[in-house]
Amino acid sequence: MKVRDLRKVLKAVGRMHEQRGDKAVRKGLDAFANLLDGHDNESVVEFMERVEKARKARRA
Amino acid sequence: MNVRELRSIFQQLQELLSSAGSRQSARDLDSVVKALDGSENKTVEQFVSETKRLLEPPPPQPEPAATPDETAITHYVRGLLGAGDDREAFEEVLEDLRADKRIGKDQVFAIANAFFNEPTGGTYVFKFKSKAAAYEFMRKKFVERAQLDSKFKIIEKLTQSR
Repeated sequence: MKVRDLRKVLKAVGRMHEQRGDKAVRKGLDAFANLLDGHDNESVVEFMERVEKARKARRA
Repeated sequence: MNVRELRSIFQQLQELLSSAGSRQSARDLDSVVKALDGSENKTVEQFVSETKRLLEPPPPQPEPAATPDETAITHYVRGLLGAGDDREAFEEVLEDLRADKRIGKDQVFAIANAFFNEPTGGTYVFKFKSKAAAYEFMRKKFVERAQLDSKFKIIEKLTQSR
Protein backbone atom coordinates (compact mmCIF):
# COMPACT_ATOMS: atom_id res chain seq x y z
CA MET A 1 0.00 0.00 0.00
CA LYS A 2 1.35 3.43 -0.95
CA VAL A 3 1.26 6.40 1.41
CA ARG A 4 -1.03 8.08 -1.14
CA ASP A 5 -3.61 5.30 -0.62
CA LEU A 6 -3.38 5.51 3.14
CA ARG A 7 -4.06 9.25 2.94
CA LYS A 8 -7.20 8.58 0.94
CA VAL A 9 -8.35 6.00 3.49
CA LEU A 10 -7.72 8.44 6.36
CA LYS A 11 -9.71 11.16 4.58
CA ALA A 12 -12.65 8.82 4.05
CA VAL A 13 -12.60 7.56 7.64
CA GLY A 14 -12.29 11.13 8.93
CA ARG A 15 -15.29 12.26 6.89
CA MET A 16 -17.29 9.33 8.17
CA HIS A 17 -16.54 10.23 11.80
CA GLU A 18 -17.34 13.87 11.17
CA GLN A 19 -20.72 12.94 9.72
CA ARG A 20 -21.38 11.05 12.94
CA GLY A 21 -20.58 14.25 14.83
CA ASP A 22 -17.07 13.28 15.96
CA LYS A 23 -15.03 16.23 14.75
CA ALA A 24 -12.12 15.44 17.08
CA VAL A 25 -11.40 12.18 15.26
CA ARG A 26 -11.52 13.95 11.88
CA LYS A 27 -9.08 16.53 13.22
CA GLY A 28 -6.75 13.84 14.59
CA LEU A 29 -6.78 11.91 11.34
CA ASP A 30 -6.15 15.09 9.35
CA ALA A 31 -3.19 15.85 11.61
CA PHE A 32 -1.79 12.38 11.03
CA ALA A 33 -2.39 12.72 7.28
CA ASN A 34 -0.28 15.87 7.49
CA LEU A 35 2.68 13.72 8.53
CA LEU A 36 2.30 11.78 5.29
CA ASP A 37 2.46 14.90 3.11
CA GLY A 38 5.19 14.74 0.51
CA HIS A 39 5.70 10.98 0.85
CA ASP A 40 2.92 9.83 -1.48
CA ASN A 41 5.09 7.56 -3.58
CA GLU A 42 6.71 5.69 -0.70
CA SER A 43 5.16 2.50 0.57
CA VAL A 44 3.44 2.76 3.93
CA VAL A 45 5.72 0.10 5.41
CA GLU A 46 8.85 1.88 4.20
CA PHE A 47 7.73 5.26 5.48
CA MET A 48 6.50 4.02 8.85
CA GLU A 49 9.70 2.05 9.38
CA ARG A 50 11.62 5.29 8.88
CA VAL A 51 9.34 6.99 11.41
CA GLU A 52 9.83 4.19 13.91
CA LYS A 53 13.59 4.23 13.43
CA ALA A 54 13.83 8.01 13.83
CA ARG A 55 11.74 7.96 17.00
CA LYS A 56 13.68 5.04 18.48
CA ALA A 57 16.97 6.79 17.74
CA ARG A 58 15.76 9.83 19.62
CA ARG A 59 14.68 7.78 22.62
CA ALA A 60 18.06 6.00 22.73
CA MET B 1 -7.26 13.27 20.15
CA ASN B 2 -4.35 11.28 21.52
CA VAL B 3 -2.19 8.65 19.89
CA ARG B 4 -3.89 5.85 21.85
CA GLU B 5 -7.21 6.66 20.16
CA LEU B 6 -5.52 6.97 16.78
CA ARG B 7 -3.86 3.60 17.30
CA SER B 8 -7.21 2.03 18.10
CA ILE B 9 -8.69 3.49 14.87
CA PHE B 10 -5.88 1.92 12.89
CA GLN B 11 -6.50 -1.41 14.60
CA GLN B 12 -10.19 -1.22 13.71
CA LEU B 13 -9.20 -0.41 10.14
CA GLN B 14 -6.91 -3.42 10.08
CA GLU B 15 -9.77 -5.67 11.14
CA LEU B 16 -12.05 -4.11 8.54
CA LEU B 17 -9.54 -4.55 5.74
CA SER B 18 -8.74 -8.06 6.84
CA SER B 19 -12.37 -9.12 6.86
CA ALA B 20 -12.83 -7.47 3.44
CA GLY B 21 -10.06 -9.68 2.09
CA SER B 22 -7.34 -6.98 1.87
CA ARG B 23 -4.90 -8.89 4.03
CA GLN B 24 -1.82 -7.21 2.56
CA SER B 25 -3.19 -3.73 3.31
CA ALA B 26 -4.12 -4.88 6.81
CA ARG B 27 -0.55 -6.07 7.33
CA ASP B 28 0.77 -2.77 6.01
CA LEU B 29 -1.10 -0.99 8.78
CA ASP B 30 0.89 -3.04 11.30
CA SER B 31 3.82 -0.75 10.58
CA VAL B 32 1.66 2.28 11.43
CA VAL B 33 0.53 0.75 14.72
CA LYS B 34 4.13 -0.18 15.58
CA ALA B 35 5.35 3.35 14.86
CA LEU B 36 2.73 4.73 17.24
CA ASP B 37 3.82 2.40 20.07
CA GLY B 38 5.28 4.21 23.04
CA SER B 39 3.64 7.54 22.20
CA GLU B 40 0.11 6.66 23.38
CA ASN B 41 -0.17 9.56 25.80
CA LYS B 42 0.84 12.23 23.33
CA THR B 43 -1.64 14.16 21.24
CA VAL B 44 -1.61 13.35 17.54
CA GLU B 45 -0.47 16.91 16.83
CA GLN B 46 2.49 16.48 19.21
CA PHE B 47 3.41 13.16 17.66
CA VAL B 48 3.23 14.59 14.14
CA SER B 49 5.27 17.71 14.83
CA GLU B 50 7.95 15.73 16.71
CA THR B 51 8.17 13.14 13.96
CA LYS B 52 8.34 15.74 11.20
CA ARG B 53 11.27 17.34 12.98
CA LEU B 54 13.00 13.97 13.36
CA LEU B 55 12.59 13.18 9.68
CA GLU B 56 14.08 16.47 8.54
CA PRO B 57 17.51 16.03 6.96
CA PRO B 58 20.32 17.22 9.25
CA PRO B 59 21.36 20.84 8.68
CA PRO B 60 24.38 21.22 6.41
CA GLN B 61 27.68 21.28 8.23
CA PRO B 62 29.27 24.73 8.45
CA GLU B 63 32.24 25.33 6.20
CA PRO B 64 35.44 24.28 7.92
CA ALA B 65 37.32 27.23 9.36
CA ALA B 66 40.16 28.56 7.29
CA THR B 67 43.44 26.83 7.99
CA PRO B 68 46.25 28.94 9.44
CA ASP B 69 47.84 28.75 5.98
CA GLU B 70 44.78 30.26 4.29
CA THR B 71 44.48 32.95 6.92
CA ALA B 72 48.11 33.97 6.48
CA ILE B 73 47.83 33.95 2.69
CA THR B 74 44.72 36.17 2.83
CA HIS B 75 46.48 38.48 5.29
CA TYR B 76 49.43 39.08 2.95
CA VAL B 77 47.36 39.38 -0.21
CA ARG B 78 45.17 42.00 1.50
CA GLY B 79 48.28 43.82 2.70
CA LEU B 80 49.97 43.86 -0.70
CA LEU B 81 46.84 44.94 -2.56
CA GLY B 82 45.97 47.42 0.18
CA ALA B 83 49.29 49.20 -0.39
CA GLY B 84 47.83 50.54 -3.64
CA ASP B 85 50.56 52.62 -5.31
CA ASP B 86 52.42 53.29 -2.06
CA ARG B 87 55.84 51.73 -2.67
CA GLU B 88 56.93 51.95 0.95
CA ALA B 89 53.80 50.20 2.24
CA PHE B 90 54.18 47.50 -0.43
CA GLU B 91 57.84 46.83 0.44
CA GLU B 92 56.97 46.69 4.13
CA VAL B 93 54.40 43.94 3.58
CA LEU B 94 56.83 42.11 1.31
CA GLU B 95 59.51 42.25 4.01
CA ASP B 96 57.07 40.87 6.59
CA LEU B 97 56.23 38.09 4.19
CA ARG B 98 59.90 37.20 3.65
CA ALA B 99 60.48 37.10 7.40
CA ASP B 100 57.40 34.98 8.15
CA LYS B 101 58.64 31.48 8.98
CA ARG B 102 55.16 29.96 8.60
CA ILE B 103 55.09 30.79 4.91
CA GLY B 104 56.69 28.21 2.68
CA LYS B 105 57.41 28.19 -1.03
CA ASP B 106 53.92 27.05 -2.08
CA GLN B 107 52.25 29.70 0.05
CA VAL B 108 54.43 32.44 -1.48
CA PHE B 109 53.42 31.19 -4.95
CA ALA B 110 49.76 31.27 -3.91
CA ILE B 111 50.15 34.83 -2.60
CA ALA B 112 51.80 35.96 -5.83
CA ASN B 113 49.02 34.43 -7.91
CA ALA B 114 46.30 35.92 -5.73
CA PHE B 115 48.03 39.32 -5.86
CA PHE B 116 47.97 39.08 -9.66
CA ASN B 117 44.45 37.64 -10.07
CA GLU B 118 42.33 39.27 -7.38
CA PRO B 119 41.94 42.78 -8.86
CA THR B 120 40.65 41.36 -12.16
CA GLY B 121 38.94 38.23 -10.85
CA GLY B 122 41.28 36.19 -13.05
CA THR B 123 42.19 32.56 -12.45
CA TYR B 124 45.47 32.18 -14.30
CA VAL B 125 48.04 30.28 -12.27
CA PHE B 126 51.67 31.27 -12.78
CA LYS B 127 54.40 28.78 -12.01
CA PHE B 128 57.51 30.08 -10.31
CA LYS B 129 60.90 28.47 -10.03
CA SER B 130 61.67 29.95 -6.65
CA LYS B 131 60.41 32.22 -3.90
CA ALA B 132 62.74 34.93 -5.23
CA ALA B 133 61.07 34.67 -8.64
CA ALA B 134 57.64 35.06 -7.03
CA TYR B 135 58.80 38.15 -5.07
CA GLU B 136 60.26 39.63 -8.25
CA PHE B 137 57.01 38.96 -10.09
CA MET B 138 55.00 40.76 -7.39
CA ARG B 139 57.36 43.75 -7.52
CA LYS B 140 57.01 43.98 -11.31
CA LYS B 141 53.22 43.79 -11.07
CA PHE B 142 53.24 46.46 -8.38
CA VAL B 143 55.30 48.81 -10.60
CA GLU B 144 53.09 48.12 -13.65
CA ARG B 145 49.93 48.86 -11.66
CA ALA B 146 51.40 51.98 -10.07
CA GLN B 147 52.45 53.30 -13.50
CA LEU B 148 49.05 52.55 -14.97
CA ASP B 149 47.37 54.20 -12.03
CA SER B 150 49.50 57.30 -12.44
CA LYS B 151 48.65 57.46 -16.18
CA PHE B 152 44.96 57.28 -15.36
CA LYS B 153 45.35 60.08 -12.86
CA ILE B 154 47.02 62.28 -15.48
CA ILE B 155 44.27 61.55 -18.01
CA GLU B 156 41.65 62.28 -15.37
CA LYS B 157 43.27 65.62 -14.54
CA LEU B 158 43.51 66.59 -18.19
CA THR B 159 39.91 65.70 -18.94
CA GLN B 160 38.66 67.52 -15.84
CA SER B 161 40.57 70.72 -16.61
CA ARG B 162 38.90 71.04 -20.05
